[in-house]
Amino acid sequence: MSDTDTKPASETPAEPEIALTKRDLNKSFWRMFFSLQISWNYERMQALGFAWAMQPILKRVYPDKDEYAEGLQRHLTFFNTSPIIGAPLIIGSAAAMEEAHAKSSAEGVKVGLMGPMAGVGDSLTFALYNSIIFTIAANWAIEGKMLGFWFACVMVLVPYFLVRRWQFFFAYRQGKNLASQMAGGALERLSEAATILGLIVLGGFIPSIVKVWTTLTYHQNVSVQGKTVEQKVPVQTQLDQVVPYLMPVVLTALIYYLMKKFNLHPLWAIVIVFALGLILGWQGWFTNVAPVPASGS
Amino acid sequence: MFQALILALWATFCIYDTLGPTLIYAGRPLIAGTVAGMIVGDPTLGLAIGGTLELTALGVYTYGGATIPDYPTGAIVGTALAAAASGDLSAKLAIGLTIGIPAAVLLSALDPIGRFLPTFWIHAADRAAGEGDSRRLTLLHWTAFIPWGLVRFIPTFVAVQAGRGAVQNIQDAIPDGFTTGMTLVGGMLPAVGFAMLLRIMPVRRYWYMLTIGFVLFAYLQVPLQGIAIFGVGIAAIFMALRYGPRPGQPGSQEAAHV
Repeated sequence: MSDTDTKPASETPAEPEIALTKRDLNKSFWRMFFSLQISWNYERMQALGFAWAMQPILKRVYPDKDEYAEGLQRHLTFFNTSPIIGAPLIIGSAAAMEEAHAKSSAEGVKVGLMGPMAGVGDSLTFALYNSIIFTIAANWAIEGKMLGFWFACVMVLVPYFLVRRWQFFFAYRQGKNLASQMAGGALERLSEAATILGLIVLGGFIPSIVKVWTTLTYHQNVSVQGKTVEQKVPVQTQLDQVVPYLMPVVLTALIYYLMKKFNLHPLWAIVIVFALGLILGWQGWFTNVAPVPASGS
Repeated sequence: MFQALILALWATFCIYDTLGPTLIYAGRPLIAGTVAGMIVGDPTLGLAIGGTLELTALGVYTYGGATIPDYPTGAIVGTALAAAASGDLSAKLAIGLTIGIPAAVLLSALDPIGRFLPTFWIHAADRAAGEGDSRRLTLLHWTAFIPWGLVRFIPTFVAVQAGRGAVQNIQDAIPDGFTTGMTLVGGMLPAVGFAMLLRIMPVRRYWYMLTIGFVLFAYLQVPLQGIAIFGVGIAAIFMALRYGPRPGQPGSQEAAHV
């Protein structure tokens, strides 16, 4: 962020000599939309996708062939950010700057925003939005409801399109002001609010989606009217009296702890759960089906 | 043969949709698995396998180009092969998970190849850009997807084609207890997905927010959608309390007059 703030104001963008048409912008948007990451590679990541999306813009703005070629090269440098929230914003504002012939600002906005937007964009799109939508959808799917599939499709198709289109044209209109607006803390607040929503939702999703109950029982002797009677008590009933849904929470917390503290690789976490579930389920000690009589009393 | 081809094409589309338009997020196991179920004529099976893998993969996204288990392709292969098994839905689901999860892990070994090869394309693109050759740039951009597609297309085709005949043998070799165990594994695996989500969130700072959702579900039996809507309200209140009314709203003007 500080890179863009301290950028010397050497370039005072003049009135654009050649204005971009609506068609140029649309072309650029659709190119980004359909293919931003298809040429992704370890070396420069989204660079080629970015350059290809900028091509219609550069073609219009720089009639001179050398300047045009230079522009393509300028946008073939390393680039990587969040594809849904992030990339459209950066491409839109880079287009505005190229239109104003502010070449180093176009580069600056890329370098300055791609890192912060990668973090914010990924957590908003994937960690927050997707995990809510897809948890609800997958829950329906597991219950055998086709609704889960269609719900997920629609909740991606429409919002994902709208959020990208809005960002692209918003950023284009804002042009040079964008970077300072982003730095104003709006993004940080948005992602903080999103984090809070995400944690509340996770608090409810974990006990409802993770399914593990024990079928174990223990014997205890109780004296009924002077006589000692042996009673079979399900462990689950006792657990439910302490806190309902304790085991899903403990299981998730345990895996979280192992990952956080000992850097347990997710693959190993899967292997552990695989082994644990297989053994406990095979033995019939635990089940993924809730016991029929809930702790009603 | 024809079905294997369609499934392999679907696996290729799934990665294209993830990298490109993200129309329906076909790269999520729920979508990939359900459509694979439709292709093999058992959408309910696809839903069940895709849904279970989806919950396992909840926090699993490619951040900064890291390789992750290829759950969508695992869901496709798992669904296609489980459809060839016998028994009821839960028996087929157990087979699908038994095949799908290891397949997802094994296939992720090929992912770096797809990510590495387009590096050659980018150097050719440098030359095309230097000459201002727009058409060659376009061609290079789209053909750079070929390695990405092939590392999914080929294994899916081979696994479906070769695996079909073997499924019955695998199933015969599996004892009943294994199926029961796998059903429990399906119920427990989402814990891994949730743990991964928690890992990328500031739990230490806002851990108490988790208790709100927990009470809503565990004690008040609020459905998931209800918890999500309630969460929006709480987040809004929290932000308003912490940062005050947003500028431009009546509240802030009053504050300015004081």
